Amino acid sequence: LQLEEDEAKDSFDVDVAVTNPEKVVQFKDTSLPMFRSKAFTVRRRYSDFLGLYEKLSVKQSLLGCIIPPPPEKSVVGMTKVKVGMDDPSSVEFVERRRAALERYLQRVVSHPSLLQDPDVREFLEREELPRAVSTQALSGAGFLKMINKASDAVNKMTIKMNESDTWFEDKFQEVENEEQQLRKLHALVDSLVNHRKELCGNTAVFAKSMAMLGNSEDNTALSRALSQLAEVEDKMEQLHQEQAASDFFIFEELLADYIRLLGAMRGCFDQRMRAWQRWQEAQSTLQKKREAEAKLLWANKPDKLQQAKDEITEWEARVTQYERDFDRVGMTVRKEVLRFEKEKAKDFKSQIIKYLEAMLQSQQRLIKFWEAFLPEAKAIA
Amino acid sequence: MRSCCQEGLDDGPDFLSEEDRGVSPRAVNVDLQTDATLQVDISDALSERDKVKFTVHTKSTLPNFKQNEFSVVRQHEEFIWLHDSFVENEDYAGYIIPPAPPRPDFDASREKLQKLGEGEGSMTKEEFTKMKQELEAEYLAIFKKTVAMHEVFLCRVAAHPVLRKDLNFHVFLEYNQDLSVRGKNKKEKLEDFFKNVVKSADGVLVAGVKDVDDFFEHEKTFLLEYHNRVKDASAKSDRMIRSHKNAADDINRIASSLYTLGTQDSTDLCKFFLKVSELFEKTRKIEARVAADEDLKLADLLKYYLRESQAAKDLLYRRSRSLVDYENANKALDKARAKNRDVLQAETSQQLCCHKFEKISESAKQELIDFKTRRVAAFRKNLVELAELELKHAKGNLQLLQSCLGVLKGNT
Repeated sequence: LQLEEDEAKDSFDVDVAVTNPEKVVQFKDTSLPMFRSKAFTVRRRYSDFLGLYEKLSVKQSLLGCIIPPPPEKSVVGMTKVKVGMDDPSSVEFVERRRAALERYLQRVVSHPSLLQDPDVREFLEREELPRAVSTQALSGAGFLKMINKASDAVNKMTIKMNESDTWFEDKFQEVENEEQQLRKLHALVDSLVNHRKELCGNTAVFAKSMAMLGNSEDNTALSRALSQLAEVEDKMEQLHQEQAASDFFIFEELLADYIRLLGAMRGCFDQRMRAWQRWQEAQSTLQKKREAEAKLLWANKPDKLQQAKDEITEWEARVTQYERDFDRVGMTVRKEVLRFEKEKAKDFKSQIIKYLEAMLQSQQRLIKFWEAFLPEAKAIA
Repeated sequence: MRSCCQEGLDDGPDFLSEEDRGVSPRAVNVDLQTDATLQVDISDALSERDKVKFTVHTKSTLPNFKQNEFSVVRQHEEFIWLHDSFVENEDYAGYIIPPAPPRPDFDASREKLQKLGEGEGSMTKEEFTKMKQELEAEYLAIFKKTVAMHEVFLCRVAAHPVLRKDLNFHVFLEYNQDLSVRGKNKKEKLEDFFKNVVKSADGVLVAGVKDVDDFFEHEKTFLLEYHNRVKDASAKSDRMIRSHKNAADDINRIASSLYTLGTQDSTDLCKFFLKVSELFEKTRKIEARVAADEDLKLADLLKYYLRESQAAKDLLYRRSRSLVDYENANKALDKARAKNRDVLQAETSQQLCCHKFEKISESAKQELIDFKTRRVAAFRKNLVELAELELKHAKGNLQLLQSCLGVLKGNT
């Protein structure tokens, strides 16, 4: 299929990074000749990101593109940050938001069509953006509602689509299955993150109690060994904390992103169905117009006849247009799905490898800690 | 639920450390010299619905016994009976009585197995089998532990120069009928409770009196603090290890989920998922073993010394009480001499108290020194083994990760 050939020549050099998210976001990127300069920085608000998404959705999704969704709004998280709270969960929230926005932008710019979009260019380059309004719809619940609204419209269709090519049906089913599996996996990884954080806390507490025990112990060598053990456990706590962060930021967020992306993909399948629906409705309207014309001919009303003929011409044009649109959307969706699957495979592989490498480093450090402790234990006499 | 553990408890689940399979757990928490004149072990154990039956096996060259080698079946209550008989024996007031083994407690494990049975319909066959295997392994681990703890108690008694000669102990070892030691009824349990309350009240009173003897003064201060800190460390080690087990369980489920994802199709990504799932399966087995080893080498060690330090404290209390008795007898004697009435009686009483106090002090000193030696040796052994096992497992994990990453990166 020649669609796959087209995929091969897509390669980009755009790097987007998001830093310093403290209500205002700024980022810089090095980029292609189409931009003004090689590297530049602009400041953006979170609502700007949402605004970009909304603009893109309205335009591009009609064509069957998969628009990456931005991270969801979080009233609790943002309130804490605004109030200036410094606790670990706020810090984590800020970092989470920053990383998610960065990934969001990277996905947008790695999409060949979206990169060409003037709204994207404006977002990346323009000094000051007008404040985005009506971004209310884009909280997590809002996003889901939007997707589901499209599905509802499809479900209400009275005429069942007769697919000559089962590709779309099969793919849609696949996507639904995968989304379900990823949700399950996401919940499991979340549980792991929580247990690791618990382990972290319990290890710290245990380390302290070992230090106390070491203080009480009146055999000198044993006392020292117990204190050393307490130190090892302290270091283990550090390791557990880093591991939990890795579990979350690399693994869990990857899954969360793809659950949302699969939702977006379902959305574009639905867009195709609506395009089909539009075409069918136009055909049935055309049919009605033709019937009306026939009636007029029979009733011999020449003045109304011209109007009827004009309407028929208009609707014939529409039918042709809508059929063309439908075919084009179908082709775009196929292309998008292929591109998405490639991206997804690449993403998962690289992130999971990163995750495993973090685990590997963790084990290496663990080995160092215990190797240092072993002679202390042996020295007990 | 019935589970049978045959000879030497060799067929352990693979998540217990190699050490525990086939090697007598006797040496785990205490460093005891094995003595050919009297060797005791638990050669077999049977878990029935609400009780555990231990086969106590004895090898002895002592003339007291009818045979050189014999076995009897005992239950937990009979161990408690033996322990309590030591505690109540005035002659043993000057010794650290080896702490009684805790009651076998399978309630939590049984509950989990029951819940699993109820939830069978809501999971796939693979998930169910997997979870069932895990819970059975957990049950087996608890079972092995309780056997080990009962065995350690007997070995400590057998290694003690005086207690090993105790008649009740010999009856326990040899008498092949039921000892008819029914569990304590409510009244007896209440009596015990009040006895303990009085003892600790006594202890508080007596602890306030500064000892003339520096050695005992130091030991008193030391033991009071040490006991509390071991208690704290023991509780916290349990919590830490439980979190560790929970994390390992999560990794297990993640592995299953990745496997499901991997079997959806035969794309590159799916093959990738299958490989990662395989890695997580292996990794989590190692993590489970780490938690199990930490449990054995650290948590159990702390629990044991919690009980032993309590037994040592009890010895100090008994000594203090006999000191109080001695001092009271002195006062009574002075009074009698002053009134010149019942002097001989008072003198005899005073001499008895003096003798008792001195006897206890002498043996207590040796016992406390031995306690320290045992404690240091046990900690050394277990901490070294803990470190070695942590290293072994970490290296195992490392190797798995390295080889898996090699394959995954090579294929991308």
